[in-house]
Amino acid sequence: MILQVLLFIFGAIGGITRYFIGQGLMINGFPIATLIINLLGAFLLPIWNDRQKERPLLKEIIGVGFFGAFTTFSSAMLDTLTLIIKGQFIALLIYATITVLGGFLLAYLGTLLTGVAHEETDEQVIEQEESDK
Amino acid sequence: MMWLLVGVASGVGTLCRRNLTALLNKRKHFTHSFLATMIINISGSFLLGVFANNYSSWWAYPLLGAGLMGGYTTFSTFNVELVQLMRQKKLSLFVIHMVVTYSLGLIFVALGYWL
Repeated sequence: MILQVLLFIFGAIGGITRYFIGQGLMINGFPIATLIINLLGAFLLPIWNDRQKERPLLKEIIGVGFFGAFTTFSSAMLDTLTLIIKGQFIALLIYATITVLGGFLLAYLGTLLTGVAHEETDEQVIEQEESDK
Repeated sequence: MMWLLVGVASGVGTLCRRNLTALLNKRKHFTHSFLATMIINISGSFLLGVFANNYSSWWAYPLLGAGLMGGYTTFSTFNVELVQLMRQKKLSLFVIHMVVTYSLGLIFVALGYWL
């Protein structure tokens, strides 16, 4: 029950943060707000998940709650559809490419950053074990 | 006060997403957890399309669109799942998740929009 309440609160905060960023960021009809929000969230979520591995509650309420609600897949699809309807095909191409490739690559980069940190600690652990022998 | 509307609805959307994911993953034949996110993102795109075009009240889009569907669907979890599939070398599942989510997401937002 407490988990549900916390998820609601952090989901609400995620949505409100998205709303306020979205308000200031419309450049010449190009829907840059959702793009930036989604890329930011895709990059930060894997980093957060890794940092909070030992704290499952915190990991879930911020990861699933805040970042899940902060980023939005449906608005990205609606933005894409709007660009198709308006016939802005260059903007459409840019938007779709950055969403698909950028989202994946930034999530990958976020994972990689944490992955590198792990390899280092693993090596340190091995070194430590060897010196113990 | 629009932000409050967005916030409350976004919190509700988050609970729908989280609990639907948990519910689906409890099922015996539901072997791939990313399918829950796929179902959520596609259904959410459909509903956002419906809400975007068919309601003109000032509160409808902030509440149902930006709020409820914004909180319900997720881009960050989707991409983290793609990275996980890639790193686990499950390339066919990676391609399926990416292609099906984006293509059906776009098709269904259009279906909802013109329904």
